Amino acid sequence: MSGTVQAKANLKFNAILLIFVIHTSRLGVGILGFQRFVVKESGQDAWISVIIIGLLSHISAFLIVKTLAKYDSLDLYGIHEDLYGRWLGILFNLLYIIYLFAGVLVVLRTYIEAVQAFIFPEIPTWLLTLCMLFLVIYGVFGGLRSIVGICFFSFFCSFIMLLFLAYSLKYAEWSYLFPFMEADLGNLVKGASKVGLTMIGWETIYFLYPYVKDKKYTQKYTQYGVLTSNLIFVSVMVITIVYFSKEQLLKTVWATLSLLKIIQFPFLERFEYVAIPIWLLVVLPNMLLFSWAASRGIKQVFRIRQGTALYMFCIMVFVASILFTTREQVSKLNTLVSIYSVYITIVYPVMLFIIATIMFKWKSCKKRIIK
Amino acid sequence: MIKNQLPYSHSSVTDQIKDHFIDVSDFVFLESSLTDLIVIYLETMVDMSILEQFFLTPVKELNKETITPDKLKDILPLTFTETKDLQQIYDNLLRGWTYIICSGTEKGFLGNTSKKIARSFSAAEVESQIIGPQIAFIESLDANLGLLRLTITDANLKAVRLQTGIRTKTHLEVLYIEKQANPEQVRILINRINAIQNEDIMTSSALIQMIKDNIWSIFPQMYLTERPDRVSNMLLNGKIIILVDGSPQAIVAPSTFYDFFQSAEELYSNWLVGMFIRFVRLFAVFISTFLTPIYVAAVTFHYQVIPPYLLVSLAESRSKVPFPPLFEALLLDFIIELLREAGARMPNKVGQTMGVVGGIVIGEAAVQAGFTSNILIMLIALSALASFSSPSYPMSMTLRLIRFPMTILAGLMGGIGIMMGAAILLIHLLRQESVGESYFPLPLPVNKAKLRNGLLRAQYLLFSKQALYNGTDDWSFNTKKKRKQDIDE
Repeated sequence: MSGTVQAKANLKFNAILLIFVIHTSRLGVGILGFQRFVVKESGQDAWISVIIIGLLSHISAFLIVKTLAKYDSLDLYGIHEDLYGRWLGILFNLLYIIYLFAGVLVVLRTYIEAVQAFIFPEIPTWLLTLCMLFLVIYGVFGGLRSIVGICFFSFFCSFIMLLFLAYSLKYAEWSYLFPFMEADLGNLVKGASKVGLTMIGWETIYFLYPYVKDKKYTQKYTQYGVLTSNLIFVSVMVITIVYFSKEQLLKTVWATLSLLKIIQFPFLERFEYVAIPIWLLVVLPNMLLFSWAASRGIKQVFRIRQGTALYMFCIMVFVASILFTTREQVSKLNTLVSIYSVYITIVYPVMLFIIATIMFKWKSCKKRIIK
Repeated sequence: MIKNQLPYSHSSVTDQIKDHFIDVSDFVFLESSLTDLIVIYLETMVDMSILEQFFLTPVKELNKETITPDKLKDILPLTFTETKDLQQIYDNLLRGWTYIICSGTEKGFLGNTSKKIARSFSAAEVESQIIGPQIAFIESLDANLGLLRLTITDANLKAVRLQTGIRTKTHLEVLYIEKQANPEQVRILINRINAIQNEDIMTSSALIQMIKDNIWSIFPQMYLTERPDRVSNMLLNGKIIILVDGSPQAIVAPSTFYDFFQSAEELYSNWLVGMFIRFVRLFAVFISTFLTPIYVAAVTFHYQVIPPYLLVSLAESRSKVPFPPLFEALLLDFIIELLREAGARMPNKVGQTMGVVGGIVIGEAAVQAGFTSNILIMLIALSALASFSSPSYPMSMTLRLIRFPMTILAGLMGGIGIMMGAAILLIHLLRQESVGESYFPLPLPVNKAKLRNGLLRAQYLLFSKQALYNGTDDWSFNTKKKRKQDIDE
């Protein structure tokens, strides 16, 4: 079969690591300030919107692993070429690469914006972009093993940082959660669609699957990874709602960072100055995974070395990144990617699963007829 | 290689050996007219008492007529073997062996009469320990191997002898316990040493530089130790040891990053104490790498993170300092390195005095003169101290070196710079391998035995009794199940 990923045994990783990889690929810059958009649509019931997306993510991840299990060692690119044929497959692969490209770009630009908003207002965008892309190139050249390693450490970073959010529960006003279920279903779904960009990331399993050592556990650990990240999203949402009043929240761009601001230690104040640099380690796995997946795709489509593909990809990201000069442009990009990401990560996996099932049925029917 | 065989006439053999050792002052060529024997050796390398006792005395008692090669073989000690290989004769003469030949025949005998040129065993000085055996390796390969055989009395302890160097012809010994070490890794190591056969090496740390996986990495990838008990422990855990003749340090491979922060002492003390010591060490790594950079970043860019009352004392101590924090920190760091280096090179008697002069006088005067702030001196001293908490000297040097780029990054980009540095460090560590095994394995319960004595130091009962290599990547363990005991039973 064309495009079969023949992963060497020493490049494969244990399925249990999928918990960390899936978790960290979902946690990124979005969580620093996604609350505003959801609350705008569904008010104090925003956490229900988050749960809706969470449930959808479980279903989507379930179907993705099911699809992958039909083909034993193919990644998404291989499946595309197998299902749609060579040329249509290439078209779909290119579309997916563009999606990954947009994902990296959004993460990069949003993180830089957070740095510029909170720490260094004067720092030039190109400098930070260059530094981050250097990290991406160095990391991806280390192969999947080092990416998975970074994910592992990033997992604990994100957990520890979010534990600090519990500090603000001291000032929680639990009555902000009521009245319960004020928003109707339409509003809830609308709110859920706004979380899309923040909560995507489980689709990286499409590309990681051939590298999993014990494939029968893939489903289990993928679901765990999705679950831990969902718990974090919901708890952050709840903490935000009980801390801010609705009017205040609608004006707060970086709600999570504002929550961290109030933390005080005898030796430390203004916690966001610590949180944003450390968040680099949480953002980095996102960029590494997406760049890795994209460069694999470019390799498959254009038949070039993955290293060359990575350099090309990073140069394109760099150019695109400095083309965005104002804040409005970045937020427009975010909105655009947010809309499409919902289709790509939730609707498309369902479609792909159905198509693959039909194809397999059809193939086995054909075999039976020939017999 | 075509071997030099002894030519037909024996006079030309001796001539050839003579020619080979021309202008070598300690070369001895004894031609006994009484017995028709020729004895050849190097005076400086031969133990004269052995030569006299086992060889010259019996030979003297023979008559001239009765000397034949067969007779000679009878009276010589068993260790003497007949040889015609000229190259072997040259090599062994240089190692203190004696060659003996009947004139008029072509049968010569080669035997070991070498003098043991080595100091006696002494206590470990670099890796000194409070509990446990105190003995350390010395410069003699045979003595070191003997030390290990004393602890591990098992024929499964294999020792493969190799040799490198055109001039030094250094002997190496690759040790491993069969069925515990990974045979693939043994093969890789032997191949790597064979590949540098022409390199003259002086010591084991030089050998590491040539056979480590990534020769460009700043991190030591193979552990170097002078303690036989540590080496025995490593052998039992399935590691491979390389001993180099003339070097009192053994190489342990494959090593992980965590190995460099362990010492055998944890295994000898209570498990809670051992675990505590290990965490202190890991914390020390963090301090030595990040403390100065955090100070520089906070003072240069993020003074908001410092609480007001702390800020007052900080500002007070920095008020007289004319330099930016980055320069101040680099200057002090450099002075500390200067003190350390001078202290290491100075003769012992002068060293202590100069240490006091350097540490107290320069430090105090620098603050008085307004060169640096008190707080920074404290932080720099703390991180210098912390960097020495690694039991491995190469690793502590690496940690000290890493601090400089970290400080510069912090001075240029503040907290973001520190995290960039940390991310580069993390990726770098994750990319490294030691003999094909991951250098920075994730502390996960994927391999339970390694976790119990990796980051943690668990109770002895929780250790697996034997880690056997079963030919695959999975390691199997024999663990006994114990019956649970009830109260007052």
